[in-house]
Amino acid sequence: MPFAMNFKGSLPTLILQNLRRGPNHGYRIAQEIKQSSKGVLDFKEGTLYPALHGLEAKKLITSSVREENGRPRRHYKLTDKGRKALVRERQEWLQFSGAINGIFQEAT
Amino acid sequence: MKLLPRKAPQSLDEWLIIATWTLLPSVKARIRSEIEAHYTDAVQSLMLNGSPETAAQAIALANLGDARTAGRRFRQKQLTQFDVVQIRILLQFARSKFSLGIELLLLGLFLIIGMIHPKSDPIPFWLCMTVVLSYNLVGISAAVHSAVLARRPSTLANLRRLLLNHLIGVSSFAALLLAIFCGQRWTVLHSKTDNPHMDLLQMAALICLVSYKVACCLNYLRWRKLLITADNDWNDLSPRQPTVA
Repeated sequence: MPFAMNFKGSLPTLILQNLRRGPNHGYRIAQEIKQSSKGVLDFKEGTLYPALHGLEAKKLITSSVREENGRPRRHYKLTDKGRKALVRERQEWLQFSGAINGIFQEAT
Repeated sequence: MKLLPRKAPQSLDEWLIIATWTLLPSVKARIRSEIEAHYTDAVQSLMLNGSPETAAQAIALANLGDARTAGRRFRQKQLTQFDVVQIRILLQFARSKFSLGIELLLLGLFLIIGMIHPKSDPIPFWLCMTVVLSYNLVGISAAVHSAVLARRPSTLANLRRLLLNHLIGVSSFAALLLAIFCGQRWTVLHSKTDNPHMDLLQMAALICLVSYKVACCLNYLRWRKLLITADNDWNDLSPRQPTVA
């Protein structure tokens, strides 16, 4: 069953992770995040763009308009600063989830 | 002035109107093109999966989520028209000779009252200089950013004016803080004057000045972050001609 995570905090990290594979546009980023989580993580797609703009303002990603299927699409690309931020965020997340898992395993 | 529509959006156009409310035209255009492309892709994908067109459009719109929430988040990440009005006023103020004179007067006043008030001991010179110089360093940084913000062709003249203005403006704030910090020396707080209304007036002026400076600093921090994004079009910010040659 899909559930809405507190995406205000974690969506930017998931976007950075998605862009690690290469430049991508908003719609595809949203679909790939949903597919990668096998539909567990669900979010309203309108909130994706403020998150993208926020990451761009922090210079973690850059954007450029490219033609795709005859239509101009804005593609986002990870910067070096973004790559470093992603490594840091991932380490923090792994530590955090490891700690939570440890507590749950103790409880069972 | 138009008001934000209260009813839930029934079409993409209505959704975009709500989500981009009060944003700059250039930002609105960018968001519109991105969301429209997103919506078109979503509708096409749903239709390929067998949904009729009307149902696909309704689902794609629902998947975008609440337009007000999106709008609130966009306004946190992008400049609004209200920000632009404030920046324009601030830039005009920063460039005006009148404001420079006022700031000079204020600085003089604070220094005279704070440092050589006959009823109290003078504030140590080193303390005064340390605080004023520290604030000046911040002032220089702010001035440089403001000059970039102003983005005028005659950069040098504006830079000089902005630097001077910020130095003096921030110095006056620093001197004011210093005077308050060194408590007993500040006549507004510990006045022995006969006229109690004067105290109130002075206090009101003090509160206004401090609030103005604090608001400027807070806004400045927000704008500095937002103005680095390319889609906040500079032309939206300063369509008027510069007053300084």
